[in-house]
Amino acid sequence: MKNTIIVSAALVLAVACKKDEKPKPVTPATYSSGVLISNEGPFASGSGTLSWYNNATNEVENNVFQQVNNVPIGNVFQSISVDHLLNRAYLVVNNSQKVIVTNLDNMTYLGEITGFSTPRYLHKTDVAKAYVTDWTSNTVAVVDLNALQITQTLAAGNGPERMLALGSRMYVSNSGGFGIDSTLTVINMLTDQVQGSIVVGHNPHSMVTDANGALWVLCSGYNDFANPANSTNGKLLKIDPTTGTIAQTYVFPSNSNHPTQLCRNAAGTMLYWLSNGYAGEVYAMNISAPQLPAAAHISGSFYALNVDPVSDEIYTTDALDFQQDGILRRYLNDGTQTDSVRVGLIPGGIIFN
Amino acid sequence: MNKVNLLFLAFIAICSAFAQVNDSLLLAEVTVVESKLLRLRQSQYALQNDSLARVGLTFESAAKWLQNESSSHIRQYAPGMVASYSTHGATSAQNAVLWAGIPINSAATGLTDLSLVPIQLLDPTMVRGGNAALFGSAAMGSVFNLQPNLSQKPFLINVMGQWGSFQTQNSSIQLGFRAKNLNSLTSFSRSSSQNNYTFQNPYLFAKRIDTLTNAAYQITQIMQNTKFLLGKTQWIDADVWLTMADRESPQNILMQSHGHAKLVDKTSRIKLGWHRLKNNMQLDVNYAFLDEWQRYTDRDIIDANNQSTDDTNKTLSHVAQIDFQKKWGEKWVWQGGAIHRFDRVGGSNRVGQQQTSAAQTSLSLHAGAWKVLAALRAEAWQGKLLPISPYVSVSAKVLKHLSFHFFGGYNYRVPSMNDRFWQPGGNPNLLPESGWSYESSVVFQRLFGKISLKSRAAFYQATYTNLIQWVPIGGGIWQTENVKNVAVSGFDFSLSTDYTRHNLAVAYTANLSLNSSQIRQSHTANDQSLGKQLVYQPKFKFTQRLQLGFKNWFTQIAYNFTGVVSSSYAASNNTLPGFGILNAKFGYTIQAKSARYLLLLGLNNIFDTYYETIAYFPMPGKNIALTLKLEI
Repeated sequence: MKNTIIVSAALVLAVACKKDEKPKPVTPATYSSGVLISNEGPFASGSGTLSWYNNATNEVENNVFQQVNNVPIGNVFQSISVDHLLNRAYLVVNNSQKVIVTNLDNMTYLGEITGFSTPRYLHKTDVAKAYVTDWTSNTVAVVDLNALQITQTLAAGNGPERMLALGSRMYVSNSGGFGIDSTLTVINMLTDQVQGSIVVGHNPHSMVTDANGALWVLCSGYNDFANPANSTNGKLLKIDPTTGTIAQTYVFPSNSNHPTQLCRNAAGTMLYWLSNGYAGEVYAMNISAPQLPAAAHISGSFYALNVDPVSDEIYTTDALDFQQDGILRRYLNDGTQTDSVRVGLIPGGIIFN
Repeated sequence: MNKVNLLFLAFIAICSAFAQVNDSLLLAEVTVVESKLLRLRQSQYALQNDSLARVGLTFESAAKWLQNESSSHIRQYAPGMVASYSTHGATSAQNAVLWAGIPINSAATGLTDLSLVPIQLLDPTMVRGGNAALFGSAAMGSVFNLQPNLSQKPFLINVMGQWGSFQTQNSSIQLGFRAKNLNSLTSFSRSSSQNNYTFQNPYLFAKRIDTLTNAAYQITQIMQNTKFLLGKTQWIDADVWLTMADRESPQNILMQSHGHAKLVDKTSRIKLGWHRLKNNMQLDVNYAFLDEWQRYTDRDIIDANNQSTDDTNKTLSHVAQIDFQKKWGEKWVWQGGAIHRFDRVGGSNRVGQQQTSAAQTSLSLHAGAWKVLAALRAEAWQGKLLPISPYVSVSAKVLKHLSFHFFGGYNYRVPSMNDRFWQPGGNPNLLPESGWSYESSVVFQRLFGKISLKSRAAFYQATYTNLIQWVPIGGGIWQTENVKNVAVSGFDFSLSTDYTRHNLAVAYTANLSLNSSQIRQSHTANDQSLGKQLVYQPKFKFTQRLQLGFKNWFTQIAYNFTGVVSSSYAASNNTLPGFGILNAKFGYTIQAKSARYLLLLGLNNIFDTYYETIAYFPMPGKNIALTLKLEI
């Protein structure tokens, strides 16, 4: 009987030991090429994840950061910024109020920058300097990438979101936060002073420059969830960056759709966007078009959009019901789908290395 | 020690001085609903407090109480926060909660917040398994009745104070009397805690010690139960239950901010009843008024007018319920009833109203070794007749110590008012959730001298169709839709034994539950949840409890193990690890004339296990609570 107990205990231990599986090994030095996807994760009670899509082999690797570092990224993984010069990736984690710094090759944790309220995007402008938009504090933080510290905080409008550097100026879209704003904040990057603001449409979301140097701003319009009648139409604006004047305004036809994710092709001759922030279709427009396109370039229900700066391929994500892992879809520039892969939960950002 | 504590101790001393002996008793009256529950228990598992457990019962919410039940899983952001439970694959809204037989699940949310149900002030009975034919909408997973517990003594004083970790202070007073025709019980309870417990944050590179913040709560309960006998065959009663809860809302610990959200609930429940007994027939007529007021503020969320979130919502329900039963001899009982309910919601986020009416009847037979119960229910919801809901149970005592049981029925739940009217996204065209459930069980029960032994093994199956889920429909709008079908099956095993002799009482119970609640169909494209276990439904749970009473000493040791729980259907965010929690209570009772003092020390989570019942919201590690209780 005694032996039976000992043998049984040993068997139990042996079985128990088998469960202690090691995390899946990750091939080093892969993440500095291909496509990185930031998956926000569940809003209230979960962590975002990082996916990596190898656009040469069409293979995807999910949950990269957790696999490599054995800790979650944090709550609402908003965006990624890659830094080939310092061989780093900056993972901006909105609700966790931090920017995680990793080795770009293997995604190992290097450190983090804290002191934000709700960081959204990081834009590197110098060897060791970056700007980070901070959504609820209505500021833009200037960050020392060597010390991993905020060195200065600049006032912006409501809900500063995306940034675009042009010459010595940094344009910041004030997306309205939970409410409304209609301005771009302009920062002089030489002095790190706010130089002024440009009035655009309601809730500017994203910006690009075109082949002619014009600044294009996509304004989502105000979305009043409680009283949709108060919602306003989105606008696409063409701005002369030297004067800050609006050269052309395109008004979207409906106040129930709120366009986001303005992108451009490599040549800067075509603009792309999603017709709606949570489930939009891809629209495409030549920069010289007199009016907005009537039909979608790619039909579907997309959450994020980006265009490969080398191949002009279009990448979208579909967050599905926001409760299961989303799908990354890849298209030729003419809208022909060439691949689709499962990524993480609520894939909100697509970055090309 | 602050002034409140000094006053509390002074009150105990004053009450002790008035302790008197009086043993006159009056027969207990049982309502038709309580009789219905008793008949359900012929074939369905029921959870109640045994006499030893009542000794150790101090301040327990229904959420904490149900944690000891293996088929129930409780999830909370922190102790005292909103608590919901699931059983047999049924979510919180698919479990019917009754107060003195009146359904009290919120018309707005569809559920009852179990952290606001004080078990020490009410007598709880949870009957597991679907029984919508008898108890209506929401009784898909279980029915949970909370009965006001009027004293049988002519004079009653219960005073209790508790001081625990994390600046937790609880106190309650019950004053009762029973005169010739009048029986009254007044209860007051107040609980508060800072909930500022520390934990080692497992999600950070530096495994630093963090402290939970923004999780403080203050909960006040006031109850008045009055019964007035009108002769020997009828009585009227009036019950009032007021709850005021002021609770913060903690942040997911992946966030580094503390959060500034707060939820204030004020709930008023009033029930008036008339009860008549005549010629083996009983009639209960009840009217209840249920009022909820809720305010949610979050100063971190600013709207277009530069105002922080400040939403106030109100829910009002009127319930009229008639129940009757007639006995024919010792074998037959015919029972019937009707209910009409009017619900109205208003406030910042939704406006709407609905009416439901239902008629229900059952017939039970107890003949020799056989007990049979058959029931039917018809319900009209918003003018539409829902499918007739049947129920049947059969119990057979095949051997002296062995009995077999079966029950099955069709269950349903009408959508909550939030599901239908929330702005934006409420969907007035939702269909009720529905499905069949069956269970077969075998029970062995035997006395071995002074030792009693009871064991039960049950296999169950259920289906839940048209599950309601919030799905995005574009424009940032989420809408409720009937999207999923779930197939549930499982096994429950329970063993209880007790031994009583002279001054020694020993009781041991063990429960084990295995559950599979798989999503079988979905209307969502590419749905990754297909074939997966429902979120927050453990596949395995084991609980055991040992209680000892010897002379004036009382000890209770409880160990609960909850298996892995899925927290998301996404492959990348999917599981919470299993956890085992060991709790113990040690008490000493002093009997002085008719007054009984109990000093009880509770040690909770003795192994200091880190665990979460909602992903990224830690529950407390080891903690203590000291309780002083006086009963006269």
